[in-house]
Amino acid sequence: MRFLKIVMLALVGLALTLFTANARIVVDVNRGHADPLPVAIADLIGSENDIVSGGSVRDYGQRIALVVKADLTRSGLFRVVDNAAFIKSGNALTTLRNPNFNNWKAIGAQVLMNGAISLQEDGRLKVEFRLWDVLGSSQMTGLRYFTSPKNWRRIAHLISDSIYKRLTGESGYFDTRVVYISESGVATARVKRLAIMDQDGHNHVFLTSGKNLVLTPRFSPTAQEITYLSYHGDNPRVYLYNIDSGKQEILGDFPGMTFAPRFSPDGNKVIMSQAYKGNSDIYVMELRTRQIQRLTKHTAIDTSPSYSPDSRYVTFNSDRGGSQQIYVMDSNGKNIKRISFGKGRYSTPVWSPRGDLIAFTRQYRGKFYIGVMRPDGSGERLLSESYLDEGPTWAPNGRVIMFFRQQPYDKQGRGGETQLWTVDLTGYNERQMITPLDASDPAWSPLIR
Amino acid sequence: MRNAVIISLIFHVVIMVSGMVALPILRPDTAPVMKIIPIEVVMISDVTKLRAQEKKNDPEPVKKKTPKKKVQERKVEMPPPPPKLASTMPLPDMKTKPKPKPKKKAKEKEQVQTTATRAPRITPKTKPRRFNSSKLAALLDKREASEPNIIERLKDKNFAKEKIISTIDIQQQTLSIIDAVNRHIYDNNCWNIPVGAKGAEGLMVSVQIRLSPDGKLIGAPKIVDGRRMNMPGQEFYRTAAESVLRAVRKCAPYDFLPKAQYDLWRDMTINFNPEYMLNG
Repeated sequence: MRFLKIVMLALVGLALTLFTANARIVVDVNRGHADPLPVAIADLIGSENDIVSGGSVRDYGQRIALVVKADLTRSGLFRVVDNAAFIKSGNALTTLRNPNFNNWKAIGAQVLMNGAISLQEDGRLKVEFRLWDVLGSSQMTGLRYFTSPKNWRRIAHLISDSIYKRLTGESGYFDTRVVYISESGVATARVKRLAIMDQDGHNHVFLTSGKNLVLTPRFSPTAQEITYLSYHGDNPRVYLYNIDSGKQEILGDFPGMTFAPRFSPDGNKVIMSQAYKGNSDIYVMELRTRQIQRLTKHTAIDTSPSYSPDSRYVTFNSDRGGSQQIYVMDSNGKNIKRISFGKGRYSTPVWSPRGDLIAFTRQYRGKFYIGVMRPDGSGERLLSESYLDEGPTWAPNGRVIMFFRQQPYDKQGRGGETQLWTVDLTGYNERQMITPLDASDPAWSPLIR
Repeated sequence: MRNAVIISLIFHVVIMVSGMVALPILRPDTAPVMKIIPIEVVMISDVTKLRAQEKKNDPEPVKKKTPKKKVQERKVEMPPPPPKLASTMPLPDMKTKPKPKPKKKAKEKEQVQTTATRAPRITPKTKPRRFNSSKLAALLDKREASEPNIIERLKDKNFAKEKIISTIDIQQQTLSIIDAVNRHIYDNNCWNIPVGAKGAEGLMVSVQIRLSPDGKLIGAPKIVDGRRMNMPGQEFYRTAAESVLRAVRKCAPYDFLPKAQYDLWRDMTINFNPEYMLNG
């Protein structure tokens, strides 16, 4: 009988627990804001007395913090809290490992980065930083780097990438470079040179002299090689250029003109167009064996091929349907499907490194747009609009697109300048890149390793 | 043998009772009660708004009255506006001005104005007002005084019906609390949605919080699917979950909730779902 009572009590208890669990209030929140996250970036603490070439260690700490701030601000996802608002308190070192979260909370920062920089005996710099969740009073990440002082910009970009990855869940894109065509001279005698720079416009270098016309540079996924089109004499050819060695070579000798080259995601193939006897089709070349495979066979112009990140599909544009539109096919050239059906002309499709979207240029009623759509053609969104926007290229994390924009000519024939621009997937954050001369045809590198 | 039958019977009865309590589908039909609720929902929203505003504005009486009658607009985040043209865009090296903040002061004044015309003011040191939905229903009832309102009519019937009214009360109070928390999180910009992440629209995050009677968080908020935060390949979920943790912490204390109903809101589960925002 006693056993029975115990069982009964236990079961009644269970029932009551169920009831209590059921009584918890459940609130469904489906409205929020898309404001940039407020982040405080404190200068890296360093000694004023340790001098290396180019300034004191403390100066380097401040410069690194400035570059990190610029990177995060440019992404559009973060709002860097002004240093003037900082509440300074306590010993610097205790603040480093044990920040006063209430002070940072009071100025509206939700995330804090602090750190230190010091000079090692071997002349290298030791740079360390920590990222803190101000509201949760906890450390989110912390890293330490050793580098020679001349690499301080790269270290700053690496810190930015770590912060970006920790806060967004996605790889950053700050430690990357951009190769593009630098243009100068009058319209009738334009000098076009291959140039390379960091994604923030610094460390700018010209790679070619400008004697030969160069077009459509594309980065290899290994980051050390570029493929592009160059006119050597009257013959346009696809070239390979090794950035480290400066070595340049012709990629095969084709009977017709080859253009619009692009690497496969594994870097082992180059897919391109070849015009032969008045017809353009898509070809792919194995770089090791130099074997060529023809993928499309149609009387229409097929061009601008781009692989999906898993190498299973290829997107390209073709006028086989009567107007220039975007198509997707299997990487062996089968199952060709048209995916763009909007008004106007679609061109230069580029598959996102993330795989979820295809960027393109759309021309409609005298305007150019850069847009994205899903690989099945759904969800088309236009991100930029101008007199002439063209040539989208993805940041390695698939969240930002760079393209070039040309200004219209006025009645006196002035204008026509070309510049590089970036826009993120929300379409809110559009920014111009600063280049020494006019710029077109950008190609974004993968993360430098 | 006899014991076995008794145990079996008790088992069956308790399981059925548990089922009745736990599974709403087996609950007795409450249709007549539910019929009243849609009318009440409208009032609850208004009431919560009034309460939140009263609390926010009472400590600092506003001197100037603004004649604005404009209703507070919802902040629309998506879809994005057409991008600016090249000529109007700031250069990266230029010091770009931060986004103009919404005119908070004007908004507060506007709210005070609304409050003043719609509800009596309360000084902060007066006794905490108890939320009583039946009084509220009576206040908002615009019918002639001679005509007894629905709740009084129900009260007149018998004891059993009065019990149903208390159920209505609990439901109304629960809805008020839900509405107030929702509004508080939105109005105070607590939740920053992780935009642009791959598959962000599918990242619903549930968080459990426990509150003290004065609305402060007790212990750390707990993500219901917390294990997923540390799983490899779930970085997007962790980002979404961290945005939610920041939101509930930033919004604390929840001291606008009625103390009399503390038992109702002591433990809360809040589901943050960005799908509506990201898919428009």
